[in-house]
Amino acid sequence: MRAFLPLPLLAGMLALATGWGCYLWGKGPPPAAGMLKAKPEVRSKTPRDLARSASKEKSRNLETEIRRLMEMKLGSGLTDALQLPGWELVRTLTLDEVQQALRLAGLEKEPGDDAHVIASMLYSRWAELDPLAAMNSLAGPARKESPGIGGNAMWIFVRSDPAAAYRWYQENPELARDLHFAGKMVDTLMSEPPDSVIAKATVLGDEFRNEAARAIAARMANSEESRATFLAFAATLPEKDRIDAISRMTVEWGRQEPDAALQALDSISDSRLRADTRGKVVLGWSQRDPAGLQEWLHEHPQAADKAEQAELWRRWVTERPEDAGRWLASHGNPPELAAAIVRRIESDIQGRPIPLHPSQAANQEAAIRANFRTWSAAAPEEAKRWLNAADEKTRAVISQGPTPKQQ
Amino acid sequence: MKKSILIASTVIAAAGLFGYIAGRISRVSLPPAVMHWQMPEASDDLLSSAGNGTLSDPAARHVRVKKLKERFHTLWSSAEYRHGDWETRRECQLLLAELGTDELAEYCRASADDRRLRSRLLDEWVQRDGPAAMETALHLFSDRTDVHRTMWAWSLQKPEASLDWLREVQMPAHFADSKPHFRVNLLMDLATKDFSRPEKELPYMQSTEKEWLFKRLAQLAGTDPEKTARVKELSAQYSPASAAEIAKAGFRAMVAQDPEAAAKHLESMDLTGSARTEMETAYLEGMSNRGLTEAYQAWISVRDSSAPIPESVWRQVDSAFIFQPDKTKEWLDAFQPGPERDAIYARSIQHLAVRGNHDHAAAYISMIEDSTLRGAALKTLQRLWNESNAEAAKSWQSKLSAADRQVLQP
Repeated sequence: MRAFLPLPLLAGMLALATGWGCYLWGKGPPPAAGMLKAKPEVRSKTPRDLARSASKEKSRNLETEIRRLMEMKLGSGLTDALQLPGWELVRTLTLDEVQQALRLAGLEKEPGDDAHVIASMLYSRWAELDPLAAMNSLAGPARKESPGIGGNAMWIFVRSDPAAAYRWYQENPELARDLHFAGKMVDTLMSEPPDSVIAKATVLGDEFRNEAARAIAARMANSEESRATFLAFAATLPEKDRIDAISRMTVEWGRQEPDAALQALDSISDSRLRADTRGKVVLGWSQRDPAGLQEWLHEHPQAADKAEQAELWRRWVTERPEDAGRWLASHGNPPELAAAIVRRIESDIQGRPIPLHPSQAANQEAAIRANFRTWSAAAPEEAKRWLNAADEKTRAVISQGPTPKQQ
Repeated sequence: MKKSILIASTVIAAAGLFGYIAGRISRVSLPPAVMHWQMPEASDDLLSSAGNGTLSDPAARHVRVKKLKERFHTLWSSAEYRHGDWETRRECQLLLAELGTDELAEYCRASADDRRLRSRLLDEWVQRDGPAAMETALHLFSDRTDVHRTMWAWSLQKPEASLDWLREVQMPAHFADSKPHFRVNLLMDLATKDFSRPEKELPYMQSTEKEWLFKRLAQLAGTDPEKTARVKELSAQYSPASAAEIAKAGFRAMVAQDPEAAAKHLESMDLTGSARTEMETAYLEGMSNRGLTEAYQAWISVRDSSAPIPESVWRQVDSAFIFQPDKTKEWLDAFQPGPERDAIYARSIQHLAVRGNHDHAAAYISMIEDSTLRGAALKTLQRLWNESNAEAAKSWQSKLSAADRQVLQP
């Protein structure tokens, strides 16, 4: 019998194939896959499987159960207590039942809010049983709806089998981005020490590194020591990641010590991001403690111009007119601030696309009248000139006259 | 032959060996920070260990409650919860269910500084003791979001209990205006199943609240003669001033069903002045389930173009900008010239500028023919653009016609 290929050629081909195979074997898996495979399996902390096997024994009419689920109107109940009764059923479904239920829930049509919640539950259950198949299904005909229904399924996949999830991410980058894959993967790293988080995220890729730097920044804002450790880390990051991370840490720090955080803003070199960070710290402070913020601005006049202080006071008076009025009165109703407040409220009256709630609008209108009176008493000519140039709507608000309640 | 096979086998084995060695040499060595992982901590399964800490043993109960809260807080703050993991949410719910109502109330009151947490605890508490949870939301937290969310969660589960509470409660001054909103919205939900249910609450309602209710009921009644007649009857008995609103609601329903017949009906009513304007507005409102272009075109065709656009229509235009900005721009881009277009283009400036669409706003201004409206629009855009980007605003002004630049002179 004559050989199909001559022996030397056959041997050469086999040698090449063997050499390549052994090369790959020797080289080992790609760094990210090797790293993720080394991750210890997450042992369930929750009694996930309790009471599920028992329920499988029960016979049930899936169609009836799904109809009952649809009638629960889960989409209109945004609280856990209202939605979880639906999960009590879904968590006991088998793989076959999940797929049947998805058909019965009508996902091939445009799902309404209720169907979205049910679909999210069904895909979550599917991901518990067979995550890769669930994610591949989300990449299929339901792709358009996936961001709204696949988030938790994605999370379950990342958490239960990060190496397979990472491979899926490489094959489905667009859907993975829509489902915030990088943020979810980084969340699974957060039980690691900070240097390990950065090192692992670096192996995964730039997208993960930036997410990790931002996530760690928020975690390390708690003490002077951890902030110093973080800043040392941040110094090793590329500029964009570093600035983002420092900004993030400063915003977190601002929740605890806003005055100190505001004074440390110079460490953010990018002027736009610095202004953005400052805005977030100030806004957070104004929501938590508007009087404390106004007091700080009063004591540190160089920290903000009058227009900004006036805008923050305007927000306060819109919600809490008595407190805001009392604070202003206790500081002698300064005319310069009153003028700035009048201008800010005028701007808000003219430029606000969404009308305020009537009570908030009334608070604001009373405030512009009161502050216009303060301004008029101190600088009548200037106030009059401004009023003459103001738009009709603002003039009408001011000319309604004083209201007895306003300070 | 045997020799050849031997040689071939040796070559293949050598290739494999060299390949493996080359692979090992090129293998990336990963540092311990990458390859080493922390071992996940196991936690107690509190839910399977019920019975630890009964109410008869206060010390043991105290320890158990502390553990339940700690576990809840750990889960509540976890990435699992943040990503909406159903099983984690379920465990949180089961943990809260283990707390007695007093224990839950104490936990909620002690969580005043954590807005998200207290909101979650209020959700649970309001299902067990609605009045106490609402009192805490109103007086202790005193936050509009908490109050509205808690009321809504309660009314979805226990509408009758929450209505009973609304009959009696004295709201703090800054929430006084919320009460009619809660009650009317709740009654309208119930009315979809039982149209007569709202009637039972009439004795507890103020006159303005009744007017609002009748108007909403008339909308719900649509063209149903029996329901419409009942609303008219109630309105005549409790709120005669609502008659015009009831008529408008009926007209809106007619428009939604048959716009052409409704337009003929409008002409046959022979109205003038504000009465006519109000029905024109009702016509537009009745068209709200159509596309913007169709609705406004139909409204323009029935309206008296010499009358100014009323405030109620402006509110609808504003809503369209807020809730359907892209469709609104499409509609306006195709708007035919005329007084309505001038007025609506002028109104659109602040909406577009607030969203950063200054160039679009500038393009609309250039098409406004009415000089007064155009002047006002130019000033509005100048002010808003200056506030967000003074340089770009300056560049826009420099390209304006001499007449437009003159308008912007201080």
